[in-house]
Amino acid sequence: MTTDAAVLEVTDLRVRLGGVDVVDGVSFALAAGERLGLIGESGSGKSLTALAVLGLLPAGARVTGSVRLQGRELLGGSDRELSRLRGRDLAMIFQEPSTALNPLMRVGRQISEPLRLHRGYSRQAAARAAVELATAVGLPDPQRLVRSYPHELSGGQRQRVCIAAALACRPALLLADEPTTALDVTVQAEILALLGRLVAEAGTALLFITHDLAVVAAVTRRLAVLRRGRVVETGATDDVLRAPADPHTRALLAAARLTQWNLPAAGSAAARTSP
Amino acid sequence: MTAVREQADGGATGAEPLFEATGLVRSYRLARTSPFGPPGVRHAVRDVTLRLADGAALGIVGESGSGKSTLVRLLLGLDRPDAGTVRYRGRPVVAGRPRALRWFRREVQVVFQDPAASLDPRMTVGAAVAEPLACLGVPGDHDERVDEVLRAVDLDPDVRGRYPHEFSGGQRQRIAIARALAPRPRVLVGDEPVSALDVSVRAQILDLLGQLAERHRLGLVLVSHDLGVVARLCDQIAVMRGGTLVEQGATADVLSRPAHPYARALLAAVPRLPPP
Amino acid sequence: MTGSVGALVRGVWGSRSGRLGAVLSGLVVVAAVVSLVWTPYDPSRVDPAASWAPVGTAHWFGADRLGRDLFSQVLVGARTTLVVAVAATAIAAAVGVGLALLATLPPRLVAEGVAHLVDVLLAFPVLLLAMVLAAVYGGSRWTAIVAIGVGAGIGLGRVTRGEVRRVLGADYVLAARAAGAGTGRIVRRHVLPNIAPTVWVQLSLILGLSVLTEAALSYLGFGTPPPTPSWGRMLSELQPYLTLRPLTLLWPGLAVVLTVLGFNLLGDGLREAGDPRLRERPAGGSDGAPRTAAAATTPASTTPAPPAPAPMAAVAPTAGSAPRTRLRWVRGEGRA
Ligand SMILES: Nc1ncnc2c1ncn2[C@@H]1O[C@H](COP(=O)(O)OP(=O)(O)OP(=O)(O)O)[C@@H](O)[C@H]1O
Ligand SMILES: Nc1ncnc2c1ncn2[C@@H]1O[C@H](COP(=O)(O)OP(=O)(O)OP(=O)(O)O)[C@@H](O)[C@H]1O
Ligand SMILES: [Mg+2]
Ligand SMILES: [Mg+2]
Repeated sequence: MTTDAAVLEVTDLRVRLGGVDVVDGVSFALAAGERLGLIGESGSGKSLTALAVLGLLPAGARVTGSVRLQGRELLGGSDRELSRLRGRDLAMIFQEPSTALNPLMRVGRQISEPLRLHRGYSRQAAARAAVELATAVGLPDPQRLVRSYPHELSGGQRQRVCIAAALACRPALLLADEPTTALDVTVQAEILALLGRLVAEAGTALLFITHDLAVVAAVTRRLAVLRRGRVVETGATDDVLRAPADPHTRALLAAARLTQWNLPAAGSAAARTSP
Repeated sequence: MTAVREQADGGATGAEPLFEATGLVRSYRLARTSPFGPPGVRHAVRDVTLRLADGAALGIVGESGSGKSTLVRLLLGLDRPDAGTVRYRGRPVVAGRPRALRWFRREVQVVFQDPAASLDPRMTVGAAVAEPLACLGVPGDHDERVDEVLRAVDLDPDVRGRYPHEFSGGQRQRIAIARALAPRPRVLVGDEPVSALDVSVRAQILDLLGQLAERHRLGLVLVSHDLGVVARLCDQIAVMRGGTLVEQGATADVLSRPAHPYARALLAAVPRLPPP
Repeated sequence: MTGSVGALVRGVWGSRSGRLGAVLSGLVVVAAVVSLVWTPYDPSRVDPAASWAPVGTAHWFGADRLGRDLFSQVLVGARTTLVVAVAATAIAAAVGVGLALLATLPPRLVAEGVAHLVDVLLAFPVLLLAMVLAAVYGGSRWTAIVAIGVGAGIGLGRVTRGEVRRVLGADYVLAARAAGAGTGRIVRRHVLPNIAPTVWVQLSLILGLSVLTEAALSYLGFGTPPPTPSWGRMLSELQPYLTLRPLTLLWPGLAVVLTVLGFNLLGDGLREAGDPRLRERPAGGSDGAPRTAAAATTPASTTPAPPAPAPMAAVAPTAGSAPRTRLRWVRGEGRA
């Protein structure tokens, strides 16, 4: 494979769940080191698109089309093959961290599990790596934190544990599904910078799903807008955000500007004054 | 360390506050790092004092891991503080037998941070939303009310018979909001209640909450990372860090002239849309 | 939960193991019912002329040394077995779930006391219990039922206790408390449904086990007394002739094996059909990267997820997910 070839190529992806095409003919490609934003209203099929790439759709889902990772077809591949890739060549940060963490396993082990599975790390090396990764995602007191269980962490800490596990093997493709929803803006900025470094250094291709248009503007170069399972608009992030062609994207942006907090004007601040 | 401003008491100077927390402390014991070392202690909440006037709205912002969710659990009487008290309408709210707090639950409802974990995987959405109605013996037609709140959060009432795993993240969060609003609480406590919603649904939910606040004097305690949400709905804001409130005051004041360095850092880090 | 009984039955029938289990268990029930109204011979009628009669039209399964018809004995034995197994399992369910709740819900001191008691009682063998009961009340079907039920119930309590703890610690229980739910409601609406998968599997094992234990107790003389036929007693009576007439032992043996198998398969089917998420949970991750790849670890299930069909396969949807014609709650028409 040449370096400029697509890391991920999704063609006419369709996911049928309960008689409805919840993903309805989605196509996009991602080159090494590229960052693609995927936005769209709630329930538009963003998470299912990512899960389809990962081969982790809910059972009962029918999927057609093609998903190629580094030229290799993933759809229809055996689960065994896929699980060899997951966590190593492609990793996902799940939207809801609580569902992605094993409640009975210390978080340190969960962070370093991909390294043990795919890179053959020894127990000690994995433990050291877990602490390093925990430090990298800005978790406080990492030595101690790696020994705790998921329920002992705050929402944002759990989310960072998932991020650390996804980054462990420096995957060729990272699917980030709302990776910063539980983080405050200062930590969010750190995490986004970390993802940026990973993309720059390891040439990871990044699919970034978010509701936060300001974040997507900061992180990605290209943008695809999903609505009811279809890509309704795609283009350079700046262009799409500045002059959206699709009326729904326009509505989305208008709403975003409406709820955005503006620094000095603060005109809308405390719109409701106390009696 | 605490930069308390004049109106720190929720604009309820003199009047009896509706909801009041005094000197809350909660620490957790941690795993030992070595077999012979002392078990660590994490002070998740240390000495937090808060007041909420009737119909007021308080926003809590702060660093990840600063103790906001712990504080929410303490406020709701779902966890016992090591020290300090919570009072609602002057009556103490103490974690203990569930029945003993029914008077409080009738008036205060909550949306938890993680909707996936806070919905029972084996309970249909309809049953989950109706649960507070059934538990609290709310008068009226429960089925109708469930439909009404589901519609209010932009979900089709036909979804009642489905299970939580069949929804997207944002849809699950809306289910959690519908459930909290179902029994018509006086105070809604939300732990990142709109974090998973796309901007247009978020705007709609914020409008809904704003309306409820205006028409029915719904009180709000909103934990949020999104300053836009807090600025829009809350007249008071508290900034939390390392288990304490490092700054509190009127939202407009704090956001335009933050005193604590962390509050300043927080404001500076807010990502912004490129201008149109 | 009542409304979902139909769905449960359909679900059990939809899975291969569930269907096989239902058929095998159904056979036992049919045999027991038939034996109430009809048996080819009186199972305890001695007929010297038929001693060791071979398998044939006169005696379908042959006859024993005294010339008693084996087929009739197996039929009537099914009744004994079914009564003992079902009653013992019901007792075990009540005792087990009750102990698990008692070991978790009451104030700490009481709960821990119960938990320790369970641990101590676990060391007490069922056989010993049956012997004590038989010594006091005389060996009967009921001593077997109570001994098996209580013995298995204690084991069930031990296993279920952890499950109850897990559910009580879940966020959705916290959310239910915040919604105003009392302890009773939390147990009924949240704890019981969520421990159900584990309990079902355990109960199906207990059902099978009680068939075996009943046979063993009857064999040893602590269970069903003569002349009531039971598979265990048949085995014990025929055992001396194992080398001479091996075929005669085959029938009660086969009956026990198939019944145990049927109950266990039925339990599997029930567990799968009762879990709304089992259709959803992808198979991935039993090997590959678990968390990064995910949902592999279901927070709500310590029982290993059965190997669901590979979600990738672009083939027909898995059984159980009823086709849905529309998803109307998908966001309404575009809002400005
Ligand atoms: N297991 C399932 N069974 C049936 N429908 C499902 C299932 N999972 C998801 N859906 C539906 O598929 C649609 C797309 O879901 P998806 O999770 O991809 O949305 P999303 O774009 O990620 O939304 P959000 O931003 O709210 O997370 C939704 O309407 C959802 O209700
Ligand atoms: N059960 C527990 N055992 C030990 N430590 C805990 C436990 N629960 C929370 N903590 C710790 O207490 C601190 C505060 O947690 P909390 O969940 O209140 O934070 P938060 O402000 O809600 O953060 P976030 O914004 O990330 O959700 C964290 O450092 C967390 O690790
Ligand atoms: Mg999603
Ligand atoms: Mg929190």
